[in-house]
Amino acid sequence: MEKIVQNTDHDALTCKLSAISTRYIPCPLVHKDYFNYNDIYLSYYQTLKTLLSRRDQGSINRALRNSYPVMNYGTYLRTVSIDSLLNSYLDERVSNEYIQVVNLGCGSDLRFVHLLNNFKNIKYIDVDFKDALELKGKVLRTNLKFKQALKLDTEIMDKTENGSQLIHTENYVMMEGDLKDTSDIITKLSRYTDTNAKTVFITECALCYLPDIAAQRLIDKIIDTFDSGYWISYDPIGGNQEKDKDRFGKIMQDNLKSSRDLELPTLLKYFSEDLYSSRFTQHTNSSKKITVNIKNLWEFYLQSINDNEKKRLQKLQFLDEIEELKIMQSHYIILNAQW
Amino acid sequence: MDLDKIISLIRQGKHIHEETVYTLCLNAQELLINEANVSKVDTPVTICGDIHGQLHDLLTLFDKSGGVENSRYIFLGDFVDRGFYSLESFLLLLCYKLRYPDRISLIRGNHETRQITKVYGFYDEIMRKYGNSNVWRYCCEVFDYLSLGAVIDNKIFCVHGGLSPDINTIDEIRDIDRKQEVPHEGAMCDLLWSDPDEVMTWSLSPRGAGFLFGKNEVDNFLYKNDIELITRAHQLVMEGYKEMFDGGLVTVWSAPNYCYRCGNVAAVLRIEDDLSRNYTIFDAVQAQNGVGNAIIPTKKVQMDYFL
Ligand SMILES: C[S@@+](CC[C@H](N)C(=O)[O-])C[C@H]1O[C@@H](n2cnc3c(N)ncnc32)[C@H](O)[C@@H]1O
Ligand SMILES: [Mn+2]
Repeated sequence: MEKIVQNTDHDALTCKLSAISTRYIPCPLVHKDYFNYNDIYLSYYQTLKTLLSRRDQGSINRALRNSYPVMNYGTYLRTVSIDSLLNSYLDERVSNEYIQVVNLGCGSDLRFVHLLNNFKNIKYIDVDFKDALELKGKVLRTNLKFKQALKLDTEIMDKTENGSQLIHTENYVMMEGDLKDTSDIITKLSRYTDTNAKTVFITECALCYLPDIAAQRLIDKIIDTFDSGYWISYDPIGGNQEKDKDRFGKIMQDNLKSSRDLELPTLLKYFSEDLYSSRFTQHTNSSKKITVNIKNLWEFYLQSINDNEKKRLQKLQFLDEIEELKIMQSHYIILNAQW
Repeated sequence: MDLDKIISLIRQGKHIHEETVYTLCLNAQELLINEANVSKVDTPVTICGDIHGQLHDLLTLFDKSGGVENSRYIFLGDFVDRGFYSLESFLLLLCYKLRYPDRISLIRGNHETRQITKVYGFYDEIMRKYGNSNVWRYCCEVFDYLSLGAVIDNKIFCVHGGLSPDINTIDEIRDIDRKQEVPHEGAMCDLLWSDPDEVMTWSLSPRGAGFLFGKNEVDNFLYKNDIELITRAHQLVMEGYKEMFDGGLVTVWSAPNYCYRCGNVAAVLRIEDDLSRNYTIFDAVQAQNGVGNAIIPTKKVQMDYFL
């Protein structure tokens, strides 16, 4: 079961590699200050490949070859929507404040490389299952580039305890844990972070794999524990079956269940923007004031991508079907919640 | 060659030998080379939109609309790409064309090109099924001979995408040298790529090819050519069809649950002798055993979602 969920990280990474190789990302605006973007992901993948089974390598390679423009657009929107929220939050504060960033269900995401490089005053925590992080740690340790980026050679903390590959430096920590085990997660987070300091939480296709109760407990506990935070979440929503006769979510659930036994427990429960954001606003056991913004990624495309950038995207590949892009993107949301 | 036998094999999703495909394509070319850029078709006729390799849904389409043994059809293009049975879908239509030449018209869509099929799945499907690209090349040769449009009873114009600023009259389409890969611009490209929209005049298309055209352009075209309707496909419509501009244009979409994930229904449009319009709506083939989508082949194909 856990393996099935962990494998979704290969999908996320494959999509990103494909969007990079077709030049959707990096985005010249949002990733302006992200050095060597392509290089960092490609060399991560080169090293990762040597550690994967033949079968996993094969499926990633196949997926990379068959990736459609509509998927590259979506990956672009996903990455850009998160990074632009992240950048503007950090840009405003980081020059005079210390900020922590916690990526829950981080998978192979390499945001920390750029954030640690671009912002001096931050600490970055990557959270995922132990196996996932061991693999990631191994890749980062093997690859010279990351060793340097993380100053691993000189770092005293860089010793493998009992053969563990988890990385633990002054400003980058790999924290293994199961997001369903809320109290363990909170305990560990309190160990690695200062709960009084401003903290950004990222859940990029992570909440969607958790059972309703576990996800809600995680949201509630984190908001309770951290004095002041900023949560960025990207997830699919199922759409309204009753009112709009929208079958997207139901079909998605059936397809993923039958093709790979993957479950999305809350897809049809929090099927709209309002319902999804209610998980953050209806947080009861605290008097904290929370402001939540949410939009679907189609709205994000229409409202937040300027005309020049839209033109740039159009030139990359022939997008054969706009309506399909609209349908897919209106079933993914980007949320930010500040308290 | 025994067309009926090949048809029955295709309908069962059986492998068709490379040599058979070669012969089919050659025969089809010989037939199509003699057709005009814009074919003339009589009523009653059933107009069908994009198919995109969804063979099982194409079979449903024929079931629900009488079948080619009994009625006339116009297919508006985009037979291949995206779905998992592009080859079978296209070959079935070719076989019907060879078997019943007067009962079926095949119009070229923007996917019936070498460049697009390399990106959108047909090429990969052939490589998967044959281990080499020969069959893809045979099919692409046929694509170059497909017609660009049709006119029903001199009153209804059929095309895959839409209008072009370079085309005022249907006769001008007849002058195009169509036997080539679809160019990146110009009249032939626009006919296959353009979309209707709420625009005041010709506008840039977000697809990067063709144009957006509005009610003005449609009204002009209808008036100049003395016709009453433009039927086209090319755009996914959740309800299967969509009339625009006071009924002067209709989009017909015939691939239900497009790409096995969009959740839309499909439609075909039957034009009667008195030119009245009858839409038939149909849904995707139901999943077997209540698990997933039966049309997805057993070999696990990647499902396109953001995970
Ligand atoms: C689809 S991937 C997304 C990875 C990354 N956030 C991205 O968007 O590139 C989902 C990740 O969440 C992790 N995950 C899911 N459920 C988890 C849980 N209960 N505890 C820890 N990690 C979990 C998986 O291991 C996987 O790496
Ligand atoms: Mn089309």
